[in-house]
Amino acid sequence: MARGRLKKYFIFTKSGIQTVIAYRGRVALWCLGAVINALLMGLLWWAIYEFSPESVIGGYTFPQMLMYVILSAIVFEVINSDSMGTIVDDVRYGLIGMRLMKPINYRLQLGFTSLGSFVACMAIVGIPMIIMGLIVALCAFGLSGIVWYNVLLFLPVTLLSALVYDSIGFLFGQLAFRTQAMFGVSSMTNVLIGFLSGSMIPLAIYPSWAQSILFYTPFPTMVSLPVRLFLGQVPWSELGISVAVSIAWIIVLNVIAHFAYKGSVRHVVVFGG
Amino acid sequence: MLKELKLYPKFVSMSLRSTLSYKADSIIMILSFIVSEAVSLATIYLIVGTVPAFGVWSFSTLAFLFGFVLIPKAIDHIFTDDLWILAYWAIRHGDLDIYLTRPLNPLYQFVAKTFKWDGLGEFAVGIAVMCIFAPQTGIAWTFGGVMGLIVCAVLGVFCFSSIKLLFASLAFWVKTAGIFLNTIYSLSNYAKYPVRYMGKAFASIMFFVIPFGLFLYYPVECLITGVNIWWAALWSAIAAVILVTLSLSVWHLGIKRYESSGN
Amino acid sequence: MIELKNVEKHFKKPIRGKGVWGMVKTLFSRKYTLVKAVDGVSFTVNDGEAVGYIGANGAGKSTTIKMMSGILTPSRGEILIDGKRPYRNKERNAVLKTIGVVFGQKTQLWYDLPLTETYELLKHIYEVPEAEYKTRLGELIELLDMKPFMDAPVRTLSLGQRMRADLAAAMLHNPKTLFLDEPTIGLDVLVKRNLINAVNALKKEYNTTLILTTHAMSDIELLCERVIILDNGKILFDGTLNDVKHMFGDKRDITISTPSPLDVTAVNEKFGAAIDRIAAEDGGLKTTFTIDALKLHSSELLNFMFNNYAVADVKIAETGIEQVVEKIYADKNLDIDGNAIVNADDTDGSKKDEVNDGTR
Repeated sequence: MARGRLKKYFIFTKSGIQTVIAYRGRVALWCLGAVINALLMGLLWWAIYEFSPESVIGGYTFPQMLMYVILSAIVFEVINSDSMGTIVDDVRYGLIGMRLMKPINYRLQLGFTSLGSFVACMAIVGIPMIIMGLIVALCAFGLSGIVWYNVLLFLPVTLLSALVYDSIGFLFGQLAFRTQAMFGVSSMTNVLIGFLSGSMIPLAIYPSWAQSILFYTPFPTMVSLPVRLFLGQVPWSELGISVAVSIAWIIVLNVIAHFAYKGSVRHVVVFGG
Repeated sequence: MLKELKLYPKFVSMSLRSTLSYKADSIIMILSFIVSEAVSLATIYLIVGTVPAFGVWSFSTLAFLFGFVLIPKAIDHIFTDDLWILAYWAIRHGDLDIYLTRPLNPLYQFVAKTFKWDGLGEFAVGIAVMCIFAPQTGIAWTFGGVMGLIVCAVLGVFCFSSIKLLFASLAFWVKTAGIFLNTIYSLSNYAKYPVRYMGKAFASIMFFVIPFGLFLYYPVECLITGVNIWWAALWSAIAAVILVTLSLSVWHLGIKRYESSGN
Repeated sequence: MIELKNVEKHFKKPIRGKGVWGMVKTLFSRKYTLVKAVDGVSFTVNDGEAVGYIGANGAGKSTTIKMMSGILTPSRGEILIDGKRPYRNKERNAVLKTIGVVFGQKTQLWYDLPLTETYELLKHIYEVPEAEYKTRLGELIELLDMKPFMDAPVRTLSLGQRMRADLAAAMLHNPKTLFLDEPTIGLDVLVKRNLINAVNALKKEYNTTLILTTHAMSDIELLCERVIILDNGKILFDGTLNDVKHMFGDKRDITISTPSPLDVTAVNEKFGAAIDRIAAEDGGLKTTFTIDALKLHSSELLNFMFNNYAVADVKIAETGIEQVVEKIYADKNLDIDGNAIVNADDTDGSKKDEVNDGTR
């Protein structure tokens, strides 16, 4: 695609950013809620570590586990894309007709908007919270293993995660054309992605057969990868492979979504909005 | 009161028939619920699996607790699901107006109109999980014990719905009531964990401030530790009385405010 | 009988802070501005009267209706419906059984079920005896022509059908008074007319007292003998339809068509200021004279025209209430939506009807 053609979609990115800025209070509250949830999870882990004969579980000491839980909660919130929600609203309010009439690729429009939301979320909420958490952690526990280049790499890797999340959201968002129960669908995707991507509990404590299977899915790259990268637990080789897997999935998911969307459009055209 | 009771079957039948045209949607809702709870249970399994023993709890007993917690949640979901709508937008959209013009309690009208029968599926899952894991818990089952548990479950429904009503009623004052309700609701998920081990502060909050721990966790803890479950029933009853009174008062204040300041 | 005595309704609008911290501060601050949505309204409506309650957006119409129908409580003053207050706990239920409300922008019908389901529910809520319910429903179906869609789920009904169904729902329990809050909003011209005719039929059949708020003047002309104009929470005018028209003169628009462009110099010389306005169209082939019939008889002008010009065609139009109300607002430099307008002579009334379509 010509770079010039893609350029116009950055308007949507800008709108995504502006929306998050306009609703920054609400966004902050959601992230705060996620952090509180993570802290409660941390309490549970504290209890577990009390009863554990060893001080290292799944390769994590308690401070590391706590850090993991909080970071993964924040990352999960930040990479969250609202593309599915937008599709649901468009279908419900009959705006799909308008979308089809415009000479704009719907997928790209939603994707670029999500990009904007991600950037704004990260800047306004994600980074401040991470910095705060780091300061607290360093003072309280003195975490080692955190290196500056990993921290920098953390940002583009989370960007990839956001793209994967957005692709999944768009793909399953196509169900909005067939059913009204999208609250259930979006809840399910959210829960499943959370569970399979290692948000809240590190994938290391999953049974090895599960970990092997998950390796071939996009999920571990979404939360587990960036968080462990941040904590300095990802060697270069693993990083390279995981990024490749992530990019491959982005391509695959979007190809499938492309055909799914075509099907949805046909459905709309035949049955009406 | 009598009129409300007599009318309720009519509301239920209308709700059931309304959702009949959305069969596929109900199936998706049940599926989504099963997925959420399965993930929740799997999480507990994985975490507890990292230690040889978790105090007085094992995975079986925690699974049993898990099943028990689902019961009041499911029943509450069946009867009061519309409270979410109250929390998020019913007030701003003026949905309450028409109920206020009728000679019938507006709260009753608002809540009675939805009977979420997919909650019956959730109820069944809760019962099933409890039955599957009950034998492995090593609890000495007596008739009194079972009755006590049932009483706790029933009281738990009142407590649960009251807490929901209380936070949903905040919508009369603030726009973010939905977010608060959501946070409080997810707090209820922590009653599936051994609350007592999670620090004095947390346990106090879960027992005495937002007492999910009291009416969801404590009854099962009694069974596990051999304490008489009727103590838990007593505590649940006290909590129910306090919570019902409190939530209805907040609702009344809210309606008064609505009538004086519109939406 | 409905009585409003010096009714006031104040809303406290808190001065909101910006952002999350502002939100927290707002919760604890006591600073607010007082908005007087209704500021000393008094009137009495007798049984069987039909009153049109009009005003700009934000003038206080919906607020008044909400106070009369049990939704809001007046800040000051009293509202009595047959001697009882609809906002007092002990008197409420008795009053609510005698009133019916139709909100144009919301429906009280169950969305996924056929109409009879909602009606059965209402029958129970209002405790209507079965026999009475059956007769009443039959009459309403007949009057409102609802037979074709009685069995369809409400979500499949057109807006016009749904409004008629809402009307029936409000009338099921034989209320003495019917409140209609913008019932024709969003309806096209023909459907609007049908609905208003239906309301009229109901009024005649059951002698219901009617209070109607609307932006469509045509509704009032068809339905109400009495008009109350509300502005900024106060009553601007309370009288009959005719009184409104005559208050600002009895205007006529006389349009003369001539085979060649009309030279109005002679007309101007003869009548001068007695003619309010002269507008020419089609390059002078059509000329419209706006006169006040109280000041200048149409016959005088017409005689002069016939005697001095070759008149091909004449059209006489009485200005409708729209133009009159517009004049009221123009005199206060506001248009019908309460927005300030620059040219007070803008009399293009027809398009203002469609302005308020759409949902809240």
